[in-house]
Amino acid sequence: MVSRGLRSSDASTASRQLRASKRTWRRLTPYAFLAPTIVALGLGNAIPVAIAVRLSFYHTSLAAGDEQFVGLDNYREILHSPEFVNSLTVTAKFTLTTVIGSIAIGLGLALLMNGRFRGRSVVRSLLLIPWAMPLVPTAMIWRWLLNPTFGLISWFAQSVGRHGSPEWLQDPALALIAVIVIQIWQLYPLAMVLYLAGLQNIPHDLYEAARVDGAGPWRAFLHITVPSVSGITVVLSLLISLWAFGRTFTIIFLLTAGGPVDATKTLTLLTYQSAFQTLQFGLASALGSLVFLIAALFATALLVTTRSRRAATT
Amino acid sequence: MRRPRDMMRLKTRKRRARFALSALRYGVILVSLCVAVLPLYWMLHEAVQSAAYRFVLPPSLLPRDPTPSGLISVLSGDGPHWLLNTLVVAVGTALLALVIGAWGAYALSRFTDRGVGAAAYLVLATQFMPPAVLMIPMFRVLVDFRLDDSLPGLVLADLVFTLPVTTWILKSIFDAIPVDFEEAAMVDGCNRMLALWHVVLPITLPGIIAAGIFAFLESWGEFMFARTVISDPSNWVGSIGISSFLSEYGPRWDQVMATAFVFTLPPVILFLSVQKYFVAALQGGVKG
Repeated sequence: MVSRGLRSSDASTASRQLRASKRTWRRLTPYAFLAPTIVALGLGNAIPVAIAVRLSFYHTSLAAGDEQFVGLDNYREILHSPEFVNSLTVTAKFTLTTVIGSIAIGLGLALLMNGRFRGRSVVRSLLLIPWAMPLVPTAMIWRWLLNPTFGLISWFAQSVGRHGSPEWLQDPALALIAVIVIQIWQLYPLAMVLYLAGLQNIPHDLYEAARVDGAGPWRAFLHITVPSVSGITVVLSLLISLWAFGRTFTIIFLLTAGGPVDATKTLTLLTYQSAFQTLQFGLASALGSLVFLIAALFATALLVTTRSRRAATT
Repeated sequence: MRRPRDMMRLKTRKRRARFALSALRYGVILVSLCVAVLPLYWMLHEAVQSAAYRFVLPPSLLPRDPTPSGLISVLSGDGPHWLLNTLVVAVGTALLALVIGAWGAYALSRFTDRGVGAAAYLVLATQFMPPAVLMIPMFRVLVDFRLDDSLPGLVLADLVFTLPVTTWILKSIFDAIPVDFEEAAMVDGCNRMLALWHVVLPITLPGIIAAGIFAFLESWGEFMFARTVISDPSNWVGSIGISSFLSEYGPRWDQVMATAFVFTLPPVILFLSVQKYFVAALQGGVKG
């Protein structure tokens, strides 16, 4: 009896242990799946970010290994420089107009493509082309189209307007607008595709009911369409603003290189130039860390507010 | 009550308004279409137009004296070599991004642990730091592993930059698949890995191809990293090749346009041929 009792309690602890190990295994499963991603992004992104943040507290010079801890000096220098203020303003303008422009045009075209007409699928495919075009060729063809003497767009502007064609990329007032238009031209397809998907998920009855209630197309758009696609709008604003704010480089670099008179020198351009042209790695790292900080605050705030709003509505 | 004539007038007015509206709609569609394809068309135009007309005004809508000589000179020069290098980098990056991203995306889609949520945020957080800053430390790491100035080094650099977004696309694709499918398989004795391999991946294949195309397009056109990592001309990819025609004396437009067209055509054709899957995959992701 006693021995049997012991044995059964043995068995139960064994099975409990088995169950416990199963449970820990189950708890670890997601991390096993995530391991390759974490290793790749940890080595490729997190460690370089950490190195850059560390470097932002150092003064570096060209001689290898010559690093001197300077505390917050790099940051102080940046925050007091008019160049930084200029770049921040340019970046803010660039980001805001790019986000609004690509979202508005994407939604507008999605509404058009959502209607029925002949050749819709062909038109839709062709409208996606700008998205698939590689950056360098895109920058090159736009540069040629905007060439003040021989560019097609300049010729068009010249024949429409009475004055000669403006020098799009050499005029500080126009260069930023030109770069923004090209950026929107390349990004609207993403917005269009996502909005088109969202529109197709709105039940038709809603519009039917609105019409019965006497709502015109404009009110139906405001009260049915816009709220139904608000989730997509949040995702798009987040992605496009992060890209426009901290990652846009190639198009501007190849079209204006930040000029004329710094009119298109976004923070990315300023960071690149202080790293690779004036070779001030410490300063560049501090600039990058500031961009990182602003982007993190913005993205987190956007995520938190939309999440709490979603929690409030459901 | 309205008299019949008034009704008639109202009807014609309505018809006119409807006609005007649809005319406006087609007008807008036509203009957007022109704006969307003009740069690609003009690239071809400039690539095949006889060089004698490059600086002649007014420009003609169709290329004058079209000649394939520009394109032929690209394809008989460095073009094929650059194309091959670009292809190797883009395919390598896309495959690695899919193989690594699929696991992570599956976890992000199927588990709701706190740690998984943190991982999702960290994947997004990789988009905060400007790539220019990361290039210095990344380049040092590549030098340490003797991978600088090599195509595998460029693949690794591109991977770091395409993996986060590829993972997000894959997650949204997995989100659209009901959990029931795998649960049924797991009841039948599959573990999660087998369920992912045998159940989830086959259903989502079109979406996975779409995510792969995204990574392919990104690394096909990547410029900043290629410029930093690669220096030996035998390792040049298309984006370096084209930008190399930007000389001090202004771009050599004939070569720029022909090369640009040769490098734009493959990704555009590839994208157009799979865009149906691509759109469907993104749309699946939006439904959740």
